[in-house]
Amino acid sequence: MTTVKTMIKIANDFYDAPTGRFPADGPYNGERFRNEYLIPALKKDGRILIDLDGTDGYGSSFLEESFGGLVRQCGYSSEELHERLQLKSEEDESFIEEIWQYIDEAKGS
Amino acid sequence: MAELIQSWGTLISLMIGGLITWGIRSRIAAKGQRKKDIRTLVDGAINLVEEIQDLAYTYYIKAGSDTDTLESSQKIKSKLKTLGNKITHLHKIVRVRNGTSLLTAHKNLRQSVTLSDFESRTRAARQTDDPIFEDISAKAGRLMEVLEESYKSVK
Repeated sequence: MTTVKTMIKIANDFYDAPTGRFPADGPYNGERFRNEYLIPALKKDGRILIDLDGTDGYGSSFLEESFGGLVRQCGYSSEELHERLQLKSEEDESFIEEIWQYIDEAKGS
Repeated sequence: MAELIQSWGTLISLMIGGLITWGIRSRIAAKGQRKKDIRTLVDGAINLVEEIQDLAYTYYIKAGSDTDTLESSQKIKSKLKTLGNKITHLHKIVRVRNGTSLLTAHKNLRQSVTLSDFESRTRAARQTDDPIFEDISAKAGRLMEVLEESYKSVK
């Protein structure tokens, strides 16, 4: 297994109150997080640890746009994302199940 | 001498019996306390589910451009987060066999409330008979069932 080289703690590195899918929904939206944080990290080598704890919570719309959008909009395969992404949430473990669902369901669409 | 040995034997037997009784009573008391603690967690989670349902209704009957919607969406996410903390804790201490997991039921409720056009400024107000309300109600009901199942599974 590849070692973790990049760590993104959303609450510290992005914002502690992420909101919505698109720029029109607010400055800290899912599309921006995907384009400015996830994709640059994926362009580097190694695994990426994403720490979901510490925010005011996530709407599913933000999570779907951020992570499902990697497959739907940016051409990453769910296999590669399973290999490269490591998700951490001690506060609410159901976020991890939800994010993988978006990645897997966006496959082939 | 034989009488002395017999007395000591009786005393030791009584002490062992007392220890066993104390051990059994302590175990029963600890089990009772655990069930009580889990009941409190389950009741707290059910109250949150009901609050989230009410907040979601108020949120979706107004348009995304309404001035109250930002505050409402933050409240919904905050309540979902508190619910998620409780459910993650319950998930670690209670396992429901052959049923929907607490995490999945919670995820399904969050998706029914906050997926589609949640937090969109261009979202139109929903009619009171919009299918989203039925879906939220179904997912909330299922989560409450799973919470009760998890309590019942506690021995």
